[in-house]
Amino acid sequence: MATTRTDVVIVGAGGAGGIIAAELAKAGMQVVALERGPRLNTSDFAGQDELRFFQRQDTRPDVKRQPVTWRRNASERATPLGSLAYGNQAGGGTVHYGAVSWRMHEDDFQARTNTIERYGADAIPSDSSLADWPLRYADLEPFYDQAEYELGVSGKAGNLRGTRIDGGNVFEAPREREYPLPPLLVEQPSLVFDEAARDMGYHPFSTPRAILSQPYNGRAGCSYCGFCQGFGCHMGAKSSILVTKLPEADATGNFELVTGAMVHRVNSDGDRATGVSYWLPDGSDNTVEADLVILAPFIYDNTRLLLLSQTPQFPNGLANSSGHLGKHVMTHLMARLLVKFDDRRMNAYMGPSAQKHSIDDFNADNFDHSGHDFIRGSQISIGTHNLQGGPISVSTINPPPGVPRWGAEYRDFIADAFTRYASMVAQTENLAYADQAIDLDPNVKDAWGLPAPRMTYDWRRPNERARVEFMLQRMEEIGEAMGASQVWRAPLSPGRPGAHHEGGTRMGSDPAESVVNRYGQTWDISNLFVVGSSTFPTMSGFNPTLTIQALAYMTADAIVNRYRGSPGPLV
Amino acid sequence: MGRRLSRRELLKNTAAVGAAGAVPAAAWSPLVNAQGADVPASLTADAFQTLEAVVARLIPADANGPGALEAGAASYIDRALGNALADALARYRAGLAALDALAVERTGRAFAALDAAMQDTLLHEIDADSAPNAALTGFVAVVLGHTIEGTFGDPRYGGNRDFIGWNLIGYPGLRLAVAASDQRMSDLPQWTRSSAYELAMFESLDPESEFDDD
Ligand SMILES: Cc1cc2nc3c(=O)[nH]c(=O)nc-3n(C[C@H](O)[C@H](O)[C@H](O)COP(=O)(O)OP(=O)(O)OC[C@H]3O[C@@H](n4cnc5c(N)ncnc54)[C@H](O)[C@@H]3O)c2cc1C
Repeated sequence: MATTRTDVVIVGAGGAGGIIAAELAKAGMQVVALERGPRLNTSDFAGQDELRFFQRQDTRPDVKRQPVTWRRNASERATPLGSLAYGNQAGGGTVHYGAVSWRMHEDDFQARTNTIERYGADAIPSDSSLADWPLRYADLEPFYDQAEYELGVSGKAGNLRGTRIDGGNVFEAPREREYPLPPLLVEQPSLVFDEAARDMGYHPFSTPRAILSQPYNGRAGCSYCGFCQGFGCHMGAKSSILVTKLPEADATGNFELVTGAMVHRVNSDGDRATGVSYWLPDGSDNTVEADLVILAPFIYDNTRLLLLSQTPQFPNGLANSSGHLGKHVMTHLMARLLVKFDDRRMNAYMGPSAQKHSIDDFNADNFDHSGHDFIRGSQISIGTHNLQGGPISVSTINPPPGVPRWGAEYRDFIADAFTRYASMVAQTENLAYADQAIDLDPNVKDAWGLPAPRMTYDWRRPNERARVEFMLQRMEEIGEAMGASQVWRAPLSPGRPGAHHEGGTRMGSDPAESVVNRYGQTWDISNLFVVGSSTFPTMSGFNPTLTIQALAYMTADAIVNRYRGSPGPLV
Repeated sequence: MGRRLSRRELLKNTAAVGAAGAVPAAAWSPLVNAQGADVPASLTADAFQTLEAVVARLIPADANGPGALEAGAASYIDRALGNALADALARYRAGLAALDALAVERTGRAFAALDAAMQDTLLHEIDADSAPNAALTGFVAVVLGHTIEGTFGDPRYGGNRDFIGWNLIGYPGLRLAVAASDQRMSDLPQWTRSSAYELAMFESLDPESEFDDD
């Protein structure tokens, strides 16, 4: 058992934690990051070993050691989810993510106000806790810019300071400057998708991705091996925290990364955090004392650690005087449509990530929702059916109705379809509801003996069902326009959480209605910060990570330039 | 309904394999007996025979070419049950025994001794929602998932022999760099055939090493 002292302790060295660590260390603060997993190198990744990385998920949390359980409602007993979509090593989820990197729309930050203004308060389901963010897009723009340029994102602007640019996403919020790198190369499915979408009056574009389309900052450009989403990049062309921010932090001399460190408690004294306690693989229980405690272990442990760290003053979880800890959890419901062609090969396995080209015409409030029985929307992309397209992923392709899942007919289907299919996905925004929640599972424990985080969640609410159905119909139209010989829907999940889990430590402008302020600073304990998508009040129809990272830069900036000089509440 | 690669395509692409000169030098070879048949490492000989028979029905061979059995999927599973899939060993033992018992009860013969149509009938029966025996509930799905791994996974793990799986679906093979023109193409690219661990960049890596936690 050891006790050390530092200025700042960060829990989790992933997508968000890595940025804060580097920025604070560069500003001269002494930073210790505690990461439960190992620190790997690009040379550890035989990126093309699909069995190891895609199937057995060697860089993702082990569902047996680190279970997250799920139940549809409070009367069910929760069972462990079969796979977990976040990190388990230095660099976190950014090591194996698809690197799709969006800025949210201006409208996404004010969904509640805008919905009421345009469609009336009745348009919001009465049980939804849809809320505005406590900041505006313009507040975050400089930090989006910083993230894109420091990490390296490839794309094409569709809105430069208000000027719409064809070929980029014309629905995007105004950006101050172009992307640092041009878009990635186009593949056959995107060529066909773009043509159909344009004919239909939509606005297709190359999905912005934190993958280098050219050499940048001493790193090599992508070579299009195709093993990307789910894999560590063997050449470092994916702009993961492992190859971007951790080397920066190392270079300061102010940064220490402790790997194999499983944090189990935030220590506090009244309304001050004093540090954290963690177990090492040798079983020892250790403590870091720090002036500033920053939680960045992704949404489950953001909530779980606060619940586990209750005190007499905070009996319902540390920094939870609002009672909102663990609530308003959201996930992206993935509506999927498959298309198959007789006249050409799609070769969907080519190229990086699963969301290749996209349209944004049906996202957010980019289209008029009058007369529809839902609000908000979804971005729609073309690519492979599920995450990646290597040969084992043939198992993820849902056969069309009538084709069995095994046997001679199945074999004929996959032999025919593997090179001829592509898949569209609508990543639909799920509204926040207070009863979509995370708490501690009374029955299931993790490998350390801690109660597993438990999700109570069922997406099948009227607004969500209507949104999903609308998107499936739009995708069917696009599929027909693409000239597919066959178009079919993938089955929808029976309530199961989808992609990109968010919420649990919601940010807001009212301490009674939220856990943290716009900087991720807890309302109750001013030297305790929480970063990551757990702070999102709404999720948008976009993948979250660039927004997580922009917020991390904003938090670091506020700490260095304001908090450090006069510690205390930032709002 | 479906269609395999045309004869022309097969010839074209087989030629490409020859040109690339990739000969799979399997880092792991199965144990074989004097007759050249696989000898199981985790399962008993009887259970392994049943597993081979199941795998052969999940992705069967046909007149156009070999299937999962020929790709070595059963032997991939048997070996993995000794390491990465060790948690599933008990499940396999119980499931295969129960399937055999069911076959004996219905026909008086072991599952592996039945003809393909009868094997399919029994597999459909246990794949329905109400399997006649708890050990068989969900068993087909479990074996199917691993059969796919053993048919389409990297040959380094003992399956996908002679790249039977990749040939079946027309997967062109691992390539470290793909040209812009290949990315766009609406035809099949040239094939290459090698394990990831035969590529110079990765040959020193051990796929079954553990990443250290510290
Ligand atoms: C296959 C896949 C594809 C994805 N694709 C995309 C995409 O294309 N675009 C996108 O925007 N997002 C994508 N995501 C999501 C993305 O990975 C996450 O949004 C992002 O990594 C979250 O950042 P984070 O810092 O909050 O968490 P993480 O990056 O997961 O970092 C959290 C870190 O904390 C550590 N940790 C957790 N608990 C503890 C503890 N108690 N003690 C110590 N350490 C702990 C974890 O090991 C981890 O390293 C994808 C995810 C997956 C799995």
